[in-house]
Amino acid sequence: MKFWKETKEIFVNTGLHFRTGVSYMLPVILIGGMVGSLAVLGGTEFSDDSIWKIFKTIGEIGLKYFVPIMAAYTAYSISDTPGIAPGFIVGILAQQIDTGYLGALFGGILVGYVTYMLLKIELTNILQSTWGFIAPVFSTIIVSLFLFYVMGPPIAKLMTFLTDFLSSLNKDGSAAMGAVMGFLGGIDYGGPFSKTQSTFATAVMDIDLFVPLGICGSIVTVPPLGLCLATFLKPKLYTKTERQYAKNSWLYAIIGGFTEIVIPLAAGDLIRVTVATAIGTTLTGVIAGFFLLELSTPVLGIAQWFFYNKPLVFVLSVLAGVITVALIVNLLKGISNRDIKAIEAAEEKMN
Amino acid sequence: MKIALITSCLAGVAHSKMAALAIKKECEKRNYQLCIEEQGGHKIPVKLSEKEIEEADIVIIAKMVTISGKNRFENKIVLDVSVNKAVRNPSEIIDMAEKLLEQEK
Repeated sequence: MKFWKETKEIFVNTGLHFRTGVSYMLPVILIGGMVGSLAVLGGTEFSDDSIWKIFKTIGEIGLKYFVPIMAAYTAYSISDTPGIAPGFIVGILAQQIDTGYLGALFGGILVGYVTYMLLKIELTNILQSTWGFIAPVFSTIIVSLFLFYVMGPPIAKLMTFLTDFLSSLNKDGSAAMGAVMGFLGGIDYGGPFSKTQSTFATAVMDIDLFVPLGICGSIVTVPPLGLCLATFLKPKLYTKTERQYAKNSWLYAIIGGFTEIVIPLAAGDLIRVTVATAIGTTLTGVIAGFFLLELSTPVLGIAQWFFYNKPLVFVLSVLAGVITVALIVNLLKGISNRDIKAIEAAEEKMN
Repeated sequence: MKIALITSCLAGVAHSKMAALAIKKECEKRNYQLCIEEQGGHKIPVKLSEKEIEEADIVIIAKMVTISGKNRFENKIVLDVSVNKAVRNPSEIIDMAEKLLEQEK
């Protein structure tokens, strides 16, 4: 049956829809976080009509409304434009009944799905054109009621539990969290696992937690920088193309700051490199978590430096990770017998 | 063969660009024409013109997030792949595109 097939297709692609929501929510949180951080320049107390107050308000708006935006565009991913408005409203409702971003994500998926299915209903020609306006109204009502009476209470309890748990984490707890996040961030270079931890880090900003983002931000550049350093330390272990790439990319990794830069250096020898980067990023995560490193804005690269609460810890954790990665990867490559000359010859042929 | 390529990723800074580069390289190798549209959170995409879409034999969508403006390709042959695959294995994707075109003909 077509109905079940479409239902299945929507829910199989849940990850895609979540990611779309996150993709549209990032700019909102970025504006909020950056402008809000600027307000700190004005000190802790300022009068109501000062410019800092306005900055602070903008920051609060951004950090509050990224949740409904996420819900709106999760729904958009499923049912296109008609999903945006219902998703937005359901997202705000989810926030008001204390279900936070979890409720907003589920609400967004559900309202997108219901809108999509309602729009599939075929009516007579005259009604069909108005149905486009009415269907989102019904889907909003259906999902809102469902969220309010059925799914809301358990999710709210879960959220309270999660909030209490995460905010009560002491140094050891945060270090453990850092280890897990570091490991996830170091194994697939911007793939699903890395995205899971970075999405988690941005989502918990909703409950005023900034340590996960600090951890996430510090591990990002560890794999590329570590590999570049490794190439400089023992050039013999790398092919000509790899050495050239490392020379060109280390500065780019510091300024631009994303993990994906490492891929060309990792692709040729994936297993050994992945082991090394996973160990390095785990160490970075542990250090950042242990010292409760906080990052107030989800930005990348050089821009991050201005938003850490403890810049020294950030530098320390990154350095420790980078050096670990470099040493381990060279050690592993040293005991392997990867034939550099053969690879270089093959590369020559390709070009 | 003329190919229209749309890539999308979470933030629009890394994967979309890398996928576009990988496929471009592959297309140059096989002498195919290619026009690219990259999408992502933080930038204004350079959109494919109507003429480019019209002329393309096949539309390849390499996505990590849902692309905007899907309805532009309603009457085209569309190949839907993940952006990760496009980065790692561009030649396989062009192979798939060739096969799909063959089938549709």
